[in-house]
Amino acid sequence: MFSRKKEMKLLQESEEKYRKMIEKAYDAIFTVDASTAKILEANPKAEEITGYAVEELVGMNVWDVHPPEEEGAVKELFDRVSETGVGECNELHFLKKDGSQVVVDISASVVAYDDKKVIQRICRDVTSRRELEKKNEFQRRYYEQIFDLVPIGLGVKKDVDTDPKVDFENKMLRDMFYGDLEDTFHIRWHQSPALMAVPTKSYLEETGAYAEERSYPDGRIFLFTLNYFMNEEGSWCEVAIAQDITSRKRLQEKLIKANEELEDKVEERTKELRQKQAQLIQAEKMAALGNLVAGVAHEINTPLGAMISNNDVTIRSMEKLHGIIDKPEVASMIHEHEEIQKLLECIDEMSVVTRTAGRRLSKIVNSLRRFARLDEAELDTVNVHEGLDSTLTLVHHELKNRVEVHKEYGDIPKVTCYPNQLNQVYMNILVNASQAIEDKGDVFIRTYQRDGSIVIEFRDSGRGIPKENLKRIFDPGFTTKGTGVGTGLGLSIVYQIIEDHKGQIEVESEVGKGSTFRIILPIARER
Amino acid sequence: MDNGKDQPTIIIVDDEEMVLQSLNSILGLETSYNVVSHTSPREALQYIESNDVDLVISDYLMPEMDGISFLAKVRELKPQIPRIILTGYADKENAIKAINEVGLFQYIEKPWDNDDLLIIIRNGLEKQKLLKDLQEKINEINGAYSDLQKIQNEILKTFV
Ligand SMILES: Nc1ncnc2c1ncn2[C@@H]1O[C@H](COP(=O)(O)OP(=O)(O)OP(=O)(O)O)[C@@H](O)[C@H]1O
Ligand SMILES: [Mg+2]
Repeated sequence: MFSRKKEMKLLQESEEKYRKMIEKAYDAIFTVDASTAKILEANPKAEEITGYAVEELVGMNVWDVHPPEEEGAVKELFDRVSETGVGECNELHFLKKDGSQVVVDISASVVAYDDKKVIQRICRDVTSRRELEKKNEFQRRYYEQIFDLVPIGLGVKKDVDTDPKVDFENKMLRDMFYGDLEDTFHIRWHQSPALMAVPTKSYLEETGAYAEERSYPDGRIFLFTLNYFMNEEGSWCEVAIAQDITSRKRLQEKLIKANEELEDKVEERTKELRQKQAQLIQAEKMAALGNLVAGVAHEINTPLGAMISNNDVTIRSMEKLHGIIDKPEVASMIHEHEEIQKLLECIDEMSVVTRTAGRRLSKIVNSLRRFARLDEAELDTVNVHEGLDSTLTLVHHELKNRVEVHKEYGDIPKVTCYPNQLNQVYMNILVNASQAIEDKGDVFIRTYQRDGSIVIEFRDSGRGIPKENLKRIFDPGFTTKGTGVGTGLGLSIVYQIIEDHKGQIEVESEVGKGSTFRIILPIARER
Repeated sequence: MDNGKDQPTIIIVDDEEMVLQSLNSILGLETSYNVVSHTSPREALQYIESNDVDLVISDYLMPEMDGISFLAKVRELKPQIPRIILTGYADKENAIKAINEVGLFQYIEKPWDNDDLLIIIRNGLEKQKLLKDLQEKINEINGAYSDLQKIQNEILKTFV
């Protein structure tokens, strides 16, 4: 008995507690008849959000506190809860007694109550929260619109150290990566090919940002600047700034190329200038030499003329003398004086030697003259072999006893050329050959015809030219001879002259074996 | 050369004594021409003006007067004398030009060959002699013609 009473009391107490809880609840709570959908009870909060008094609410249908257009949704929720026992629906509205509306989230469940089945609906007024959310949304959109106008890609990733998620991308970034690219490229900025490892804290403290250029398979190049910060939720965020620098890069490449080309051109021009300068120097030298030689030739020819003539007179006199002493009466007398006979013989021999010497001298003077002649700086059709011979006469002193010259002159036509210039060519090549021969050696000079050209070939048994030098020997100023020995102009002048003659020059060389210089001149020269 | 009365007279001019001596020797040895040598072109001109001369040889480069001008003056004085120039190789081109301009007979290059020299001189003299003979013939004919004319005149006179 007692226990029954006590039990009743306990029940009463818990009922009281429950009622108080409901009365003080923050949410509106309705108790609804599960079969009729009529409101049985409502707490004070329900009065507050609906604007109706409890007395008015009791007996209303649940959908009566909602605007008519939500009746269907409310009924649907009611049916679902009756069937399954629970259900919820957000973003519904209460139509208040004064006609205004509030936004409510509703959750409902079936409970047993005084042996009756009732539905308890808990409705939360979320109007102010929704408004805040909307405001936040507006604000976000406002900034997004601003960022969309920025002409660089801007993106934010959250949780980069755990599970990276894109939080924000502006229009530029979206256009850059999703624009006209095919999906198959799968290019998204957060799938960057060179996805960098999450920076360490110390790295960030030191540098704060990270920049790199990334090339994409479609050929575009982006400059990425990545900044990191920890947001208020304690998540590492990455702010990526991406600039499409493809055209800038291309421009830069073009600029570099143009620059290089310019440098090449300058170098080429410099080389040309140096060549021209070398030629001028040589031309000046030749002019000076020509004048000198002309003067010297004249100075030498006068005494030489006298000497040769006098020697000739001696020979003629001796002939006459022999005519006299061969007469029998004189001959017998001479016979007795052996001395006279000997002296006469001596004079005869010496005058023959003097005649040879005189001829040689006049040949040298002629060669010199021909080699350096100024008045022959005109086109002429000449025999190459004569030019070679007169040049050989001049370098004779350089070669004799040391270098043997083998001439293999072929049957070649005359060439139209600047003869003294070609002589300079032979001279420079022959002097080089002689200088390349250390002790004793040979030089082969061969001339022949080849494919409508004539070839003048100089082969020496000198030290040869190393491969790395071969390309440079025609550069003005290139010399391997010490200062004072070589100016390095010789072959550059050769090259220029041969070019002026529309010819070509070939070189072959092997270190230790020797070198071959081949001059190829066209036979028909158009003027 | 005492018996050189009917031998031709040759004038040689060169500022170099040594050349004059050489030419003298060869001509002395091989010919019996009268050879008169001068180191000064001016003196040579004076000599030519007042003497009978058959041929002139001159050097080209001389300090006093160059060979071409000298020979041009010789031509003014006595155009019929053959003129030969002796050149060093250096001035060959000029000498050849001068041959045409000043009307030279020949040029000889230094160093010269004595045989060539002798032939050139002999040819020059021959030409000179032919010209001289021709002139004499012309003079003779002219003389004969004027004699004829005289006779004609006299005949005319006698008749008139
Ligand atoms: N026949 C050769 N054998 C070996 N090396 C050669 C030969 N000809 C030329 N050379 C190389 O080519 C370089 C250039 O030659 P070049 O004639 O232009 O100048 P150089 O001889 O040094 O000086 P210069 O000609 O003014 O006296 C030489 O220094 C040499 O090293
Ligand atoms: Mg050289």
